[in-house]
Amino acid sequence: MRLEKQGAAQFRNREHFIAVCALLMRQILVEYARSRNAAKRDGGYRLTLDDNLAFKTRSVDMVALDDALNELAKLDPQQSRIVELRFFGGLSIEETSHALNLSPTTVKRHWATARLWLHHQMSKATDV
Amino acid sequence: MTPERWQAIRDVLEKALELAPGERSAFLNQACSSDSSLRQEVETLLASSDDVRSRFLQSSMLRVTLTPGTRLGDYEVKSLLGSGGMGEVYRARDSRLGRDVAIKVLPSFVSADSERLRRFEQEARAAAALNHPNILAVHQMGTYEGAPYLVSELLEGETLREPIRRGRLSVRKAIDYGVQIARGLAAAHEKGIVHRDLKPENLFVTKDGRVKILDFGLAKLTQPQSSSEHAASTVSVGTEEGVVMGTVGYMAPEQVRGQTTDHRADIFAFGAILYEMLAGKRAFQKPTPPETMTAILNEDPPGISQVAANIPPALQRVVHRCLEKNPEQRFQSAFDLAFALDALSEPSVRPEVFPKTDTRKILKIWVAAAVLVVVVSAVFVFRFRVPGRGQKHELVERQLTANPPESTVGSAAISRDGKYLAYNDFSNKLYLLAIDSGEVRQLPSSAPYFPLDWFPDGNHLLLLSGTSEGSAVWKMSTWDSSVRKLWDDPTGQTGQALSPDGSHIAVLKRSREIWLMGADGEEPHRIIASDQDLSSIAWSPTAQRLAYIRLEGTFAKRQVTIETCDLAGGARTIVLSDPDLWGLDGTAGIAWLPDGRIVYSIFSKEDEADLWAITADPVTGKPSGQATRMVGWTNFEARDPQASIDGRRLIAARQRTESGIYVGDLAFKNRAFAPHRITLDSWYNWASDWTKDSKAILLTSRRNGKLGIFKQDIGTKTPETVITGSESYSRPVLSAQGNLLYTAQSSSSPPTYRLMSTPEHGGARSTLLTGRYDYKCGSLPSSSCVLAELKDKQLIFSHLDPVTGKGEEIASIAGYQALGPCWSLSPDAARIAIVDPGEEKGRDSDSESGRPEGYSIGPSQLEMEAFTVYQLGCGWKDPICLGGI
Repeated sequence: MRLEKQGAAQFRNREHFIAVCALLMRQILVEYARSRNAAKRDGGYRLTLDDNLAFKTRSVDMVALDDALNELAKLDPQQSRIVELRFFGGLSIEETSHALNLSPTTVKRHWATARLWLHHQMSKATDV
Repeated sequence: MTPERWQAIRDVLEKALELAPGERSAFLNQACSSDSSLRQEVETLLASSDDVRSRFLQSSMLRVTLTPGTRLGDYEVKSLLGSGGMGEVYRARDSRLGRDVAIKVLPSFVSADSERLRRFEQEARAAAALNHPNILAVHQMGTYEGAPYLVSELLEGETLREPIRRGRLSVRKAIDYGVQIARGLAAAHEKGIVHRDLKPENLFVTKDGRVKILDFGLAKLTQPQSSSEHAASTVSVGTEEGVVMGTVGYMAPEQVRGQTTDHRADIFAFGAILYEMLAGKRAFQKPTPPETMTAILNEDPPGISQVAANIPPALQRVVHRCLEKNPEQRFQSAFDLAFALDALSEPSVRPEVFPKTDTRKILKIWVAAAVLVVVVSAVFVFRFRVPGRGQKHELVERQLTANPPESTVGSAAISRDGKYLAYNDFSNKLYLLAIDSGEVRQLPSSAPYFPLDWFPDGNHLLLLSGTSEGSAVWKMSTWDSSVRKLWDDPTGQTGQALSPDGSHIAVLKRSREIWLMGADGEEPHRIIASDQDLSSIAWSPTAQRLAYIRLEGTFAKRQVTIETCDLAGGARTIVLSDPDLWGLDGTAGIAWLPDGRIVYSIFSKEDEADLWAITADPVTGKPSGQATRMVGWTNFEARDPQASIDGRRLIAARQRTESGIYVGDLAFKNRAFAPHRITLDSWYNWASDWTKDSKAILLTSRRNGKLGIFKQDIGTKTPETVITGSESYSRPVLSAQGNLLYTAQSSSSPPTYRLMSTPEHGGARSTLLTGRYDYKCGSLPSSSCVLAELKDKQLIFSHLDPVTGKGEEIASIAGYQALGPCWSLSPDAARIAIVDPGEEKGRDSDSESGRPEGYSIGPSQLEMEAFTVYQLGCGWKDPICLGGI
C-alpha cells in the first residue's frame, strides 16, 4: 500500500478543522460579495468572485448561493451542510460522510440533488 | 416548498438520476402518476442536470490543485498520491537529485496568519533538521500561489491506523513500534519540539517496518494556541479566532483543559497509542467528543489485561504511567520511556520498571488533603422529535459542552435558527459552537462576557459583562467580534430578554422593576415596579406579553409564582404557583416556546432541579392544562432553558456541585505547592480522615448515589469501599486503637442519626449513640476521642470511648447555632481548637495571627482554646476542618 492510503485516512482531525473553515469561508465570501455588490449596485452588475479571488472555481454568485443555501437549509439542513462542506470546505464525499456521520452513498445522493436544486433556485433568482 | 414536499421530490429525483436519460420519462410516468406537479418539479430540476453535474459547484473553494507537470522549484509534480482534509499529497520528481519525493500542499487559508505560519515553518524545519530515522525527513518548504507546501521523503507503507484496524498488534511488535516512536519523540523533545497531535494517523510504518513520525509542527499551525502563549500576546487576540478543538481521543488532560502543554502531552498521546496497539481499541472512546473529553479528564481506561490477554504487567505499567492525568506523574522524558520499553523487548532481562524507591520518594510526605468544591455544568440541547398521532413529544437529548471543573460554563444562548450555541466559561473565554457538527470557534473577547441571547440576524450576540465596577450590556458581532456597549447599569440588572423580533429588550432591574427599551437601549421606560422580588424574564412567542417569576414572603414561607403581563405591565395573570420554583440561589430561568409552553425549573430536592412545562396563551397569558415534567437529571439541576425561534430546539444547562479530593506534598520547599487530584470520579467527595500511617485517606463520597465511606491509598486512583448500604454513611474517624467511628443516617424523613463504631479492618458494627454528634480522636499515645453535641445552642464536649460510647462531660460553650466541623482536637488529644462563636459578629484582621483568646473552660484535663481566625475557620479548603491533622 502506498501513500494514497495515508492521504485518505489522514486528518480525521482536520475534517473538523475544515468544517469550521467551510463555515467561515462561506461567511467571508458572502460578506465580501455583499459589500462589493452594495458598492457596485449602481453599476448594475452582480459580482462574481472568481476574478477577484485566486481560486480555481467556476463563477458562482456567492450571495445568490448563500441565499439558496439558506433556503435549502429550511428544507433539509443536512443537505445544506453537505454543500457547505463540499464546496466551501473542499471535503471529498468520503470526508464529508465522516464529518457528518453519514454513509458515503447518502452524501453522494444528497450532494447530487442539492446541486440540482440550488442551481434551479439560483437561476430562478437571476431571472427575476 | 415544505421539507416534506422536498423529500418527496428528492426521492423521485434520486431514482431518476440513477437511470439513463432515455429511461427517465417512463419512470416518471409511473412514479408520478398521481401527482402531475411532482413530475413537473422533478423534470425542471432534471432539465439542467448534465450541465450542473459536470460543472456547478464541482470545484471547491478550498483546494489548490496541482496538475502533473507543474513545477515547484526543483520539483516537478508527477501524480496525485492522495488527498485529505488538510490538502493533497503528490508524488514529484526532484530533478536536481534525481529522486522521487512527496509534496503535501496545504490549503492557502492556513497561511493567512503569517506569524503562525512562520512558527510552523520554524518547527517543521527544526524537526526536519533532526535527521532522525524515526521522523519524516522534510527536504523543503515553500508556498505555491499562497498555499504552503512541504517536500518530504517519499515513503512506501501505511499509517499505523491500518494495522490497528486489522486487529491488535503482538506484544513484540507493539514494543518495537513503541520504542521507535519514543526514540523519534525523544530526539524532537530534546530540541524543544513538541508534536501535540500524535495519533496513529500521524505515524507511518514503512514496508521494512520502520516507524516515522509525520507532521511535526502542523498541530501548532492548526490548533488553539496554549493559554500561556495567548497571555504573552494579548495584543493579537485575533489569532485565536477560528480555532477548533480536534478529535480528542489522544489529547492529554491538560490539552483538553486548554492549559499550557509541553512534551509530556506527547507522552500521554503515546500512551494512548501504545494502549491501542496492545488492546486493539482506543483508550478513550465515547460516542461523542464531549464525553470522550470528560473521560480523558476523569476516567482511567479499562485495564489492558481486561481487554487483551498476556500483556506483561511491566508493559501495562508503562502504558498506564504514560496515561497519568497529572503530567508530573508520567514519564518525564521520551528518552526514559524509550529506555523502559526497550528493556522490555529483551526477554532475558526483566527489570522492575519502577524501582520501589521511586514511588516512595514521590509519596514521601503527603500531609495535606484538601477538597475543592466546584460547580460543574454542561449545556444540553434537546430536539423535539415530531410525534406521531396520539404520541407525546419526545425529547432527544444531546450534551453540547464538556468543560473541566476548573472552567465551567458561565452562560449559554442558542441562536434563533437553533444552529449555534454561544457560551462562555469561567476562564473568560467566549465560544461559538455549531450544534450539528460540534465544531467550536473561540471568539476573541477582552472581558468576561456572558451570552444572553442572539439577535435575529444570527450575527450578533447580546452579552452581559460583569466586573467589580458594575455590569454592562453589550452587542457583539460574531462576525468580527466587535463589541458595542448598549448601556451601563452600575446598580446591576438581574435579567434581560430580547423580544422575538429583536426589536426590544425587557430588562429586570434591581430585582424589583421591569423596563422595556429598544434593542439599542433607546427609549427605556418602566412598566412594572414591584415591592416583591422578581426574576427570570421571558417574552411570549408573539411578543405580546412577558413572563417572570415573583417571590413573596420569606424564604421559609415563600410563595413563588410565574406571572405574565402585557407590554404596559398590566393585565397580569398567574400561570403557576409553586414554592419549589425557588432554589437555594434563586430561580433558574424560564423560556416561552412558540407552542405556548412555558418551561421552568422546579427544585425537586437537594441538588436536583427538573425542567417542567405548562402551557399559557401567548396573547392572554391564561394557563391551560397540567404542568408536565420535561427533563429530570438525577443529582443535577436543570436550569436556564432557552429555545430556538421555531421551538424545535431547547437548550438547558445541567449543573451540580462536585468536589474532588486533592493531595499535596507539604515538603515542597523548592517547588510550588502542587496538590493533585486523587479522586477521579465527578461526584461529591469529602476527605474525612487519614489512616494513622498517613498512606490512605478515609473519604465520604456520593459515588453510588448515596453517601458512603471509602478508603483510598493516595498512590492509587480508585477508592475501596469501606461502608455503604441502604442508609447514608458519613464522617468516618479513626481512633488510635483502630476503631472506625462513623455516622449512619436513615433514609426516612426526617432522618435519624446514629453514631456507629466498628473495628477498622472489619467486624461487627455497633451503635454507640443515637442522635447527631461530631467526634474526633487523637493519635497515640493519648488515644482519647472527643464527642461534640449541640443542645440549646450550647456546644457540649464529652469524652468518647470508641467501644463503650459517651463518657464524662468536658465543657460546654454557648452561642453555637449548628454542629459544624469548626473545631479540632490536637493530635495529643490535650487541646481543642475551636472557632469562636462570636465569629459571626466579625473580627478585625489583627486576629488573623491565630492568637488564642486564652480562655479555657470547664473542669477538664483538656484545654480549650478559642480561635477567631477566619482562615482557620471552616472554609472549604481548610485543613483544620478535615480532622485528624
